[in-house]
Amino acid sequence: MKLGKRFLPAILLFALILTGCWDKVELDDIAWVQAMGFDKGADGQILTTFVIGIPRLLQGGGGRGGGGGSGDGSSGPGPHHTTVTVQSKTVIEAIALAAINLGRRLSLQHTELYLFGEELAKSDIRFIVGAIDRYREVRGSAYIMVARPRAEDVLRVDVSPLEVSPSRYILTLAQQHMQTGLFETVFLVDFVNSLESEDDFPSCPIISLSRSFKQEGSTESGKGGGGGGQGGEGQKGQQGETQFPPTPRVGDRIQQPGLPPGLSGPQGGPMFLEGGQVPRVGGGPVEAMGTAVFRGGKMVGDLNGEETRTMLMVKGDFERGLFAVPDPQVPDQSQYSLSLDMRGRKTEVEVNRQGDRVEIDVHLTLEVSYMSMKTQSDYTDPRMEPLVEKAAAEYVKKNLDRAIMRTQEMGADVFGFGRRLRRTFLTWPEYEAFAWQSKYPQAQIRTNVEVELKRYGLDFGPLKVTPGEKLQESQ
Amino acid sequence: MNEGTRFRIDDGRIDWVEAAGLVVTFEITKAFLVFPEKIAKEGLTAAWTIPLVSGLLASLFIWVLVVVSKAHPGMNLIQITNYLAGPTVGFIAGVALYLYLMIIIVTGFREVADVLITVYMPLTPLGFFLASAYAVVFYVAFQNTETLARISVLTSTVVVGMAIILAALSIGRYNTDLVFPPLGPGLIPLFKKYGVRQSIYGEFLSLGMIAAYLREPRQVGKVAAVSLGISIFTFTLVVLTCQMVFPIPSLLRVSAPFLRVARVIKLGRFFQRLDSLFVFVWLGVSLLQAAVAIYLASLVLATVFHLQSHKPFVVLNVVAAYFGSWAIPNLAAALTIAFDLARPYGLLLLDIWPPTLLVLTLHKKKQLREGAGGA
Amino acid sequence: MPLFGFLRGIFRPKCPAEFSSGNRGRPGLPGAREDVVPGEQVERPPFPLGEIVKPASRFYRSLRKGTGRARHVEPRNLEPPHLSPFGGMTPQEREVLASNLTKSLDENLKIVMDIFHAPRNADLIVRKFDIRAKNGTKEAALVFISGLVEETTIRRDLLGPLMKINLTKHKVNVSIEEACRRLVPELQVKTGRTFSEVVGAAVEGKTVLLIDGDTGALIVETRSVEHRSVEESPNEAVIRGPHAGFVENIRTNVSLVRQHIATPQLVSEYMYVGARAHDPIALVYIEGIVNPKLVEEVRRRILNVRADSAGTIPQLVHLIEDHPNNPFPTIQLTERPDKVASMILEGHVAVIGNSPAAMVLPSTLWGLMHSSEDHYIHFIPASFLRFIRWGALFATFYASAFYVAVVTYHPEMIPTQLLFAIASSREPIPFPTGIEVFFMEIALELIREAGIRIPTIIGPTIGIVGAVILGQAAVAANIVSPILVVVIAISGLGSFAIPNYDLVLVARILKFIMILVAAVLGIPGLTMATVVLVTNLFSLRSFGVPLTAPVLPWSRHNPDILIHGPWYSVETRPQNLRPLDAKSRTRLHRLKTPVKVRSGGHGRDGDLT
Repeated sequence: MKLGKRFLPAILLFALILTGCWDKVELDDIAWVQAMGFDKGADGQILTTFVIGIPRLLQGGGGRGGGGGSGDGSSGPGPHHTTVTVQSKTVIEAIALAAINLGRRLSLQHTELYLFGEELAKSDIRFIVGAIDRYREVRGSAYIMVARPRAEDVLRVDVSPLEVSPSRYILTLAQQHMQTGLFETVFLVDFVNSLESEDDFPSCPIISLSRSFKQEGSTESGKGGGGGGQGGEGQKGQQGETQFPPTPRVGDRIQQPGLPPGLSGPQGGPMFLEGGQVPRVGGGPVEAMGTAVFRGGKMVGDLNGEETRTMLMVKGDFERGLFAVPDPQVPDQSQYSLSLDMRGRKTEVEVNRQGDRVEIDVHLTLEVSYMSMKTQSDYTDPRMEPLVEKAAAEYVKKNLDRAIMRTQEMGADVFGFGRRLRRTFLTWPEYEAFAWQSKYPQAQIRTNVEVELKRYGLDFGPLKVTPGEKLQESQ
Repeated sequence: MNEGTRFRIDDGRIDWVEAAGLVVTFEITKAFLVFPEKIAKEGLTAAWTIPLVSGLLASLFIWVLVVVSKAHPGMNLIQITNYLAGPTVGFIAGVALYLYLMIIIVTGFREVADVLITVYMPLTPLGFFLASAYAVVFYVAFQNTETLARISVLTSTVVVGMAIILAALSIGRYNTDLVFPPLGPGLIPLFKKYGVRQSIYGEFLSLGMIAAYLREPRQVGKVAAVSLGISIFTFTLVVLTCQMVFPIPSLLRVSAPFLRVARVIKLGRFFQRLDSLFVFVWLGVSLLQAAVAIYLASLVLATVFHLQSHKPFVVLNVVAAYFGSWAIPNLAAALTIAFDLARPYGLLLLDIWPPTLLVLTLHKKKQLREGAGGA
Repeated sequence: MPLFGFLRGIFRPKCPAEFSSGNRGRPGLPGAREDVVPGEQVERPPFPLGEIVKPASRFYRSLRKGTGRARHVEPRNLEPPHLSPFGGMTPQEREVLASNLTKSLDENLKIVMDIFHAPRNADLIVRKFDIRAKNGTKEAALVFISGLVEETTIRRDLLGPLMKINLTKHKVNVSIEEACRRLVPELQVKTGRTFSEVVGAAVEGKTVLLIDGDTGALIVETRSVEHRSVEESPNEAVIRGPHAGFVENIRTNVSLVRQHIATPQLVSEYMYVGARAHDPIALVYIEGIVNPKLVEEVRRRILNVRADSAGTIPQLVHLIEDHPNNPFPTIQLTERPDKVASMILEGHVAVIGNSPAAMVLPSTLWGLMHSSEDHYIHFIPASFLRFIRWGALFATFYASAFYVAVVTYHPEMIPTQLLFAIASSREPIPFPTGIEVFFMEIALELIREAGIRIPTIIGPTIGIVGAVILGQAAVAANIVSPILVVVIAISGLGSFAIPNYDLVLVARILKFIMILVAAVLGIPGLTMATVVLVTNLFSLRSFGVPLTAPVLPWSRHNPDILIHGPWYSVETRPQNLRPLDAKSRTRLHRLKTPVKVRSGGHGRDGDLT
C-alpha cells in the first residue's frame, strides 16, 4: 500500500507518457457525413453520395441563410450542407476518395441515413450493407431507406423547407412513422440481421422524389453518373431550377389524366398513398411512403402506404394512423369518406404447421376514433357503431389481404410470420432445414380484423343542418 | 453493549458481502464482450439455458468446494491441499491454479484491449494501451485484501446494474420469438454443452482462496450461494438479451454482441450513442477483474512459497501478464485459448480438485476419529 | 530457497495478519507462522518518538482483540503531558524544572527568571511585596506574563487582599495553604510544588504566588486573552439552524459545544501539544457512547506529536492523520459547534483547540459531503441537496475532462445538433480542445486565488466580473469556444458547492489530472484514472476506520449516509465507530399518532373516541 501510494503519480505519468494522442480528433478537422447514398455506377462500380454538413453555416443561429455565403442567389434558403458523389469499387474506398477532395477526414459517426437507389437495390446491396455494418464508426441505429428513383437525386435536393440540416430532417421524418404508419423505420442493424436470417425478410421504407417535382425539376437527374465528380458539379448548378412553378393549382394537378394504373384504390377511385404520387404542391421535394421489400439482398417489389400500414399492424409496430374509410352508407362514393383515427391494439398471429403445410391465422384488433364524417348520419349512435366497425374492418382486411397476396407473389415474408414459425419447431437444425423462404408463397394465410369504436372526438353527432337549409336542399 | 465487540474492519478479514463482491467481479466480467457469441455458437437458440443449467450443475461442485472450505476454516485451497495431501501435491495444485488464473488474465485482458481498440481507438498501439492499463492493474492489485474486496463490491454492483439497465433499455427491441426453437441444437448436444460449459464457472475456484479471509468462515456457503446466484442471473440475462435482439444467424457473426446491443440503443433524438459510457464501466470492471486475478495469482504463489504477503509477486505477475497479452497474435487466438483451452482446463480443476479434497478430508476425519478411539 | 527466505524476512513484519491469523488454533500448519503463538499479539518495536504518528491498523488490531485480551497501546517513553512544553530544553534545565521549589523566595525567583531569561525577556513580570503575618513579615512575589493576564483581577483579588491584610492581628501564619484558603478570593486556584508547574502555569497566563519560606506555589487562574467574539462561521454558513461558529479560544469553543449537550457525560479532556509551544487542546467526547479505545488512540497520537508547535487544529491534522502523504482529507474539520455536538453524540471524538476549526474523528467520505443544513430542514429536500452536492463533486472532477474526452475521442456521443454547434464554434479557434480547456481552467483557478488575496472591498466584484470579462474576452478573441465557457463554469460552480474545503482542494487538483488523462486517452483513460482514484479512496482510513465505512465494509448504520433518512428513522449510531451504546433512541421515540384516532361504527373518519 505504501509503495502503491508512492507510485500513484508515477502511474498517472506513465499512462500519460506511454499513450500518445493517436486517436485524437478535433471536431473542426472532420467532415461529418449526415447521409450516404448508393447508386449503380458504370462497370459494376458504385456511386456513393455523401451529404456533409457545414458547421460554419450553422453558426449564425438566427436561422437559415444566416451564414452569408449560403444564399447561393436562389430565392429559397440555401443548404447548410454540401453533397459529393464519388464513383469507386467499394464503399469504404469512396470515403478516402471524398476525403482527398474535401480536405477533411470523413466521419460516419453521425450518419443517420443510408440510402440505396432503387436500381442498385434491385441488383444487390448485400455487400454494401455488410461493409457498412463492419465499419466501426457506423451507428447501428442509422436508418436504411430506398430512394426512388436514385439516391443521388434525393440527396441532392434541399429536402425540407423546415429543417436546417438533413440529419435533423431524417430524425424528425422518422418520427412520422409513428404518427402515420405510412412507412416503417428500419435500423441498419435490423436490416442486416434480417438479410441473413431465414425467417425475416428485409424491408425498408421508400423515399421518393415527388411526382410533381420529378416532372418539372430533374429532367436530367436520371442520367447515369459516368463521371461522378463532374456529374455532381453539373447538378449543383441546377439547384436553382428545383423549384415549383409560381402559381400552382392543386385541383388541376389532381385531375390531370395519366395517373399510373396501379394507383387505383380499392373502390376504383384514385388512391394516392403511393410514394412520390401524393397530390401535393409546395413543401419539400421528397416524401417517405411505402415499403421496399427485399429478398436476400435484392429488392423484389414494394408495398404502398396502405399496405405498409397493414404490414406494421401485423408486426405490432403500428402506433396510429389516419384512415379515410368509405362511408358505409355510400360505399361507392369516395368523397364521402369517414376519417378515422386507428390505433393498433392487439395482434395475434397463430402459426400451425403440419409437415410442409403452414397455416397462419392473423387476428388484428384495432381501436378507432372518429375524426370527421361527411354525411348527416350520426355514427355515434350505438346502433350505427357496428356499421362503421364493419366498414373499417373490411377496409383494413382488404388492404391486408392484398399486401399478403403481393408479398407471397414476391416470395418475401415481411410480416415476420417466419419468426412465429420458430415456435413450431423443437430444434434449430429442423427449422433451418424447413427453409421458410421457399415455403412462404404456398402458405395458407387467413386474416381477421376486428375494430372497436372507442371515441368520438369532442362532439357527438355531425354538425346539424338547420331545417331551413334542409328545406332549401329538398326543393 | 458494544464494548469488547471486535472491530470488524481492519484485520485482514472481509465480510461475506465483500467476498461475494470479489467472486462476482472476477466471475462475470467476461460476460460482456465475446461471451454471448461463444455461448450462442454452442447453444444456438437455446443458448440462454447454457449458463443457467450449467450453473446449476456447477453449483454441485461449488458446494463441494464450500464443504471443504468449511471443514478447514481459515485455510485457502492450497493450504488445505498441503495439509491433506502433502506439500508436493499442494505445490502442483498451486501451480495449476496459478497457470489457470494467469491464462484468464492474459486472454481476458487481451480480449478487452482488442475490442476497445477495434471499436474506439484504432490508431492507438496495442502495446501502449496494454501498458497503461496494466499499470493501473498493478496499482490496484498491490492493495491489500480488504481494499480490493471493498472495491469489488462497488464494481460488481455497478456491473450487474449496468447489465440490467442495458437489458431494460433494449426492451423495445426484444423479440421473444427468437429464443425458439427451444431446444437449439437438439437435446443431446445441448446436454453435452451443459456439461462442458460449467467451465464458465471455473472462476469460482477463487472462492477457495478468498474463503480463508472470511471473518466468519461459516459464511462461505452464503458467499457461494449469493455469488453463484448473481453470476447465473447476469450470464443468463446477458445471453438472453443478446439473443432476443440479434436473431441466431446474426448473433453467430457479431463479435461483441452485448456491445452491439449498447450501440443500437437510442433514446429519443438526443442520446444516440451511449455505448461509450458502457465502455467506461466495462473497462473499469475489466481492470478490476484483472487486478483481482493478479492478486489471486500472487496469493497462490505466496501460499505455495509460504510467504506472508502477495505483494512481491504482483510485480512479476503484472509483467508476465503484460507480455502474455502482448504475445497473443490476435483476438481470435485469445478467444480460442480462453474458451477452448483454459476454461475446460479450469473445469477440470473445479470438478476434480474439490471433490478429491472432500474425500481426503473425510478420510482424515475418519483417521483422526480412529486414532482418538484407539488412544 | 534462499531468495524466498530473504523475501520472507522483508515482508514478514509488515503484514502480520495476512496468513497467520487465518490459522489461529492450528499451529504447525503449512502457511502458518511458526513463530507466533496463536492469539498472541505480535511484539512490535517501540513506537519511535519524534515521528509522525501514522499507522492506522494498530488501533483496530488492539480493538479486534476484544476485552479479555485487549492490549492497551500505551504511549511509550512519554513524559507526563504537562512537561511537554519543555521538550526543547537541555537536560540540565529539565532537571531543574523537575525539582521542587526551595524555601528561599529569592532562589526560586532567580531560577524562574533564568528559565524565562527574564531581564532580557521583558514580558515576565515579578511583583514583589510583603505580607504581614503572625510569623513575621514575609516576602512574597507574584509571577506572571504581561498581556496574558487580566490585570484587574490581580490587583483586586491578589495584591489587594494580600498587601492590605495584617495577619499579625489575626494571629495567623502566612503560607500558601493559608493564602489559598483565606486570602485569595479567586475562583480557580491550585497549588504547585515544582518549577515545571510554576513555569507551565506562567506561560499559560496564570499568575503564580510565591511566598518566602514556603515550598509551595499558588497558581491562580487569571488568563485573559484577546479573541473574536462568537459570530457566524464564515465558511459553513447555513440558512436554518444555529449560526454560531468557533472562535480562536479553546474555552469558548468547548463551552459552545457544551451548550448543545448539557450532560455530565460530556467529557472535555485538556492536554497540551507541541514540544515548545505548549498549545492547549481538548478532546471532547461523550463517555458512555464513545468507544474508549478510540479515545485512547486519539490521545496516543496527539501526545506523540513532537513538533515544536502543533497548536492550531488544521496543523495538528497533518501530524496525526493516517495517510499524511495522501491529499484526500481523512479527518473532517468543521467550524460549527452544532455539527461537533451532533457528531460526538454519534460516538465521534472531537478535538478542539485555539482555532476556529475543530477536528471530528474518525470521519467518513459521506460525512465530508454533509452540511449542517441537512439536519435543520426536512429530510426530502435534505436528501435532494445531498444529491446536488454529489453531483457537484462529480462535475468538478469530470465536467471538463469529460468534455475533452468526448469532443476529441468520442464525438459520436454528442447529439448531432450539438456537435455542429460545437464544431462551428471551434472553427476559428487555433488551439486543440485540450489546451483550450486547460487554459480556461488555469484562468479560473487564477481568479479564485486572486479573489482570496484581493482586498475585501473589491474582492467580490473581481471574482464575478473577472470571470465574466475573461470568458467574454476569450471567446471574442477566438481563444476558446463559447460552449467551453459553459463547461468550465459548471466545473467551477461545482467546486463551490462541495461543503468540505479540503475536498475542494483535492478536487481542483484532480480535475487537472483528469483533463490530462482525458486528453491523451479519452474515455478509456478517464476510466483508468477513475479506477486509480477509487482504489486510492477505498484504501484510505481515518483512525483505522475505512473512509468508505459504514457502507463498504457494510455495518449497521442509520439512514444518514448518502441520503438523509427521516429523522425518526435515525436510530442507530454508525457501527463503524463501535459506540458503546448502539442505539441513539428507543425504538419508538416519536409518537406517531399524537391522538388516538379510530374510524369505525357510524362515525366519520377521524372521529375522536
